[in-house]
Amino acid sequence: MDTIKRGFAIRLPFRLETQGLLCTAVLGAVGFVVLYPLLLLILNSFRVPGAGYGLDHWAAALREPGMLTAVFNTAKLTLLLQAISFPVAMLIVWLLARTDIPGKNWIEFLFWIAFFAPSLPIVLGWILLLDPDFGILNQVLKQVFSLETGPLNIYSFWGILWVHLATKSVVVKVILLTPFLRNMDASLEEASRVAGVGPLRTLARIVVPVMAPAIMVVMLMSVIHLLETFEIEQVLGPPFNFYVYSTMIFRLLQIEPPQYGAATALAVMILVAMVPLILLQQNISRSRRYTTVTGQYKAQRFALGRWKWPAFALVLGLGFFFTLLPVVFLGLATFMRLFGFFDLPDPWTISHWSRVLSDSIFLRSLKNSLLLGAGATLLAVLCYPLIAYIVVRTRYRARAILDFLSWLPIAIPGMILGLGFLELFLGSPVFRPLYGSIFVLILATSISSMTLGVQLLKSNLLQLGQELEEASWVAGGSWAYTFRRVILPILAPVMITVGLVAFIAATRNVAGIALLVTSQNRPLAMLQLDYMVDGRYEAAAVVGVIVMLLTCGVALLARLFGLKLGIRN
Amino acid sequence: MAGTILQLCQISRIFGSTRAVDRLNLEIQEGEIFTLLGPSGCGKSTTLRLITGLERPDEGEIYLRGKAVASVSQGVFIPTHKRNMGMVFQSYAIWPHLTVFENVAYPLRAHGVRGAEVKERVSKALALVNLQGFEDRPGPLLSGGQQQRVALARAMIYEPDILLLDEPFSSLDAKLRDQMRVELKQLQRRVGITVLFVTHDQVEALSLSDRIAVMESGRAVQVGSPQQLYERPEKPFIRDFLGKSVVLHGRIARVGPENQLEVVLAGKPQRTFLIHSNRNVASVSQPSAGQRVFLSIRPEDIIVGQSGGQPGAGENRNEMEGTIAALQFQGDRYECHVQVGEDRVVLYYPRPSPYRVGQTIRFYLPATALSVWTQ
Repeated sequence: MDTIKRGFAIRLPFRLETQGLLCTAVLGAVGFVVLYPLLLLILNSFRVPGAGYGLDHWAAALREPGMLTAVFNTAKLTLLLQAISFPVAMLIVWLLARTDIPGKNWIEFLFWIAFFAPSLPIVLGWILLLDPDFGILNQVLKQVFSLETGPLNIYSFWGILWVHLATKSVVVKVILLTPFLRNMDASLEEASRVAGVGPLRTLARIVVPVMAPAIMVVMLMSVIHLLETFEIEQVLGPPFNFYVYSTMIFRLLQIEPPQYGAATALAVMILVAMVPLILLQQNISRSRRYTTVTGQYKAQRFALGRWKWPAFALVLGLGFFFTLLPVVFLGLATFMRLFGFFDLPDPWTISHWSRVLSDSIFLRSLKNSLLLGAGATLLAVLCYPLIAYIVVRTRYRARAILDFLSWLPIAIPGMILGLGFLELFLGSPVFRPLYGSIFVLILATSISSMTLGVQLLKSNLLQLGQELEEASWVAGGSWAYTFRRVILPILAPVMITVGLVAFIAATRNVAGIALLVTSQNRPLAMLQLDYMVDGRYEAAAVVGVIVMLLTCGVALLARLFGLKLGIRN
Repeated sequence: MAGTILQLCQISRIFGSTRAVDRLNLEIQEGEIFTLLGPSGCGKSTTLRLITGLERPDEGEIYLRGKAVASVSQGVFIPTHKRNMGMVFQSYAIWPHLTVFENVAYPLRAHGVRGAEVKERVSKALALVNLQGFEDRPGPLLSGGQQQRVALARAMIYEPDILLLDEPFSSLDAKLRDQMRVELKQLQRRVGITVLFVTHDQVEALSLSDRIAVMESGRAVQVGSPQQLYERPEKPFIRDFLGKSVVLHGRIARVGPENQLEVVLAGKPQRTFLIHSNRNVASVSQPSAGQRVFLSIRPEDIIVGQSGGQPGAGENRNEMEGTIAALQFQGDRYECHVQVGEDRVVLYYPRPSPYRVGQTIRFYLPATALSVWTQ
């Protein structure tokens, strides 16, 4: 009886077979671009030229001076950052989500801008403030305390830590946790209060345990997110010979001759270290027994009383601090003949702008950035709805695998994926002609924005009643007709958001494409990095301002369209 | 009635180890309102989805106008969009990005109808459900009743072979529900379309249907007209699902001619009850003296007062007496819970009631309204 049934299941459906073919094609394509570069990395780390396979690369990696220090630095930075940023973030989250702090919408919006802002211009802003020689803050401190040298040095471990804190570390946690705490079913809390337990003990015994899975996931995500970073260390680290794993990979490929073997082995090492994090994250998100987000009743906001305005000042100050402060100095730098030297005769100029804007290298990079953004947007809008649809709506057998594959890229640091792509495109004669083209960059940046895009679409599809689709089938619409006339139009607002997110992610990306860029396909973000490494801070600032406008301007648009961004109800 | 339009033969749908629909056989006649009635989880919605092709049967065949639309043995499965059915979903599934006009026109466009014909047919369909003038209204800006009318117009516009309704009244409030029920029945009579209706609400089923199939555990346990099912249920499950009933324990004392029975009630004081007519011996095929049985009666059949001149109801026969344990005012009448020995009897009394809780009340159970069930 069982075998008979199975026999028919294979023979029967015409509709499901074509659908199944399409699903398999999508799975194959996603699997190829996500997994193949990683497999290639693992294989290549064991490949020995002329001798098949062996541990030569691993031995070389371990012999490489500074390698173990780089891994140790990565771990140290990660742990310290979590320890500092988490309490700060939790305080802000609680203030924004659960108290009557004034203007919370605007403050949250500031955090959103900070979330979308590219890191590199912000790093430059902080250099302009904290450089030991010309940094504005150091100059002020020197004057006030009549010091010989500037007391603050951004080119140090603490400088790097500082910039991390001021860019993404805190911001990411605030963005991810605020909606969770805000949407938590208030009746859970109220039941505890009614049972005679005070607000603080309720926080400790109800709110925190209920939120524990979400907090764990966000912790893991921000550790993973930190491993993504590259540009901060790349700019601030080398001057005092400080490397983390990603800048180490980059350096190994920049020296002559390039150490592919050692770089690959290092990448695989980090990949292996991430496996437990990935498994833990998946495990927690899957076994979410706590239905924290019911949205039935909103909690009574905690009245801050006389702490209201100090709290407001603190959070708003932090919000400005994360965005406006460095950006102001970035803007200032573009108009100064030599940044920080106010005592020059005629210190102000617009020559940096005119020079950069008429530079053919800049114009090519601008074109590359726009092409890159447009391509990534197009790819996102064409592919992500299909992936999300298959995962949420079909009964395709391998849909859980597709779901995992679409999530995985967020856990793979850009530098490692970039290395995998480099080896894919250089190592195979089929793909080699594409190397140096903008297409390679589009693919690499799209993969890193895939997770967010697909997740957004998935959650929207889940909210969309299944019956809307079934009604179309019953009305005589085929699968394709239904997808075109019902699913896509309903998803249109989210699709705009997804497209904009893809655009922003592509134009600000540095880590994922640093290894893939040539002088022909170099986009603005990489141009800025190159200028900064060369010490051309004023030109770098001009490019940085333009990248800021390109990304945050688009983020503002996303905000206008994207009220369904999942952050506000 | 112009013969069978839809036929289900030995249809099964298996989820894991449970048979959501279990070798179900149904025949739906052209032009009737046929209802699948049952508690949630009885398989009625799955049956509907099997008919539309939203689910795929694991066993059996489905024929629409004599043509197989799904057959496991022949390997036939016509996809949903080629079955020419209309359906009103529980949530109405009004597409939020389309106007009322476009929602209703959708099935026409999906079938390739173009131009002026679309406009003409849509306005005709909207007129049918009294929604003229709402053409440009976006879907989400409609009330529940209006959404249902749009869903109805949309389901009927392509002149489907059969109209399927999946709990269409469940999200309306009570008043609107009554009104829509009447409207739907009038509309069906006017258009003459075959309707397959799924509900868990027995009042809806009884008032709307030509025939009802009561479902339990994926099977149709009884099929018949609303009156048949209510008055002559074949199983206690159906009897209790379709309405309230009073159940008393007893023992057959004597089997008389023409299916006349005398039953002695358990407990003290012992009473003898007379029952007659065929239908009342519901599940007792071969009644014999001494057999333990249940007596059952609908509360509204119980008559307060003395049996007096009731023919065949002899002296004190079928009469009971008890104390009123609870009295519920229901607006149009009182529901009266009477304690008789160890049994509880529910009966109705018109308003205004002279009775109070704790008083003694006398009533009798007409022999023609009683039924006997095996214990």
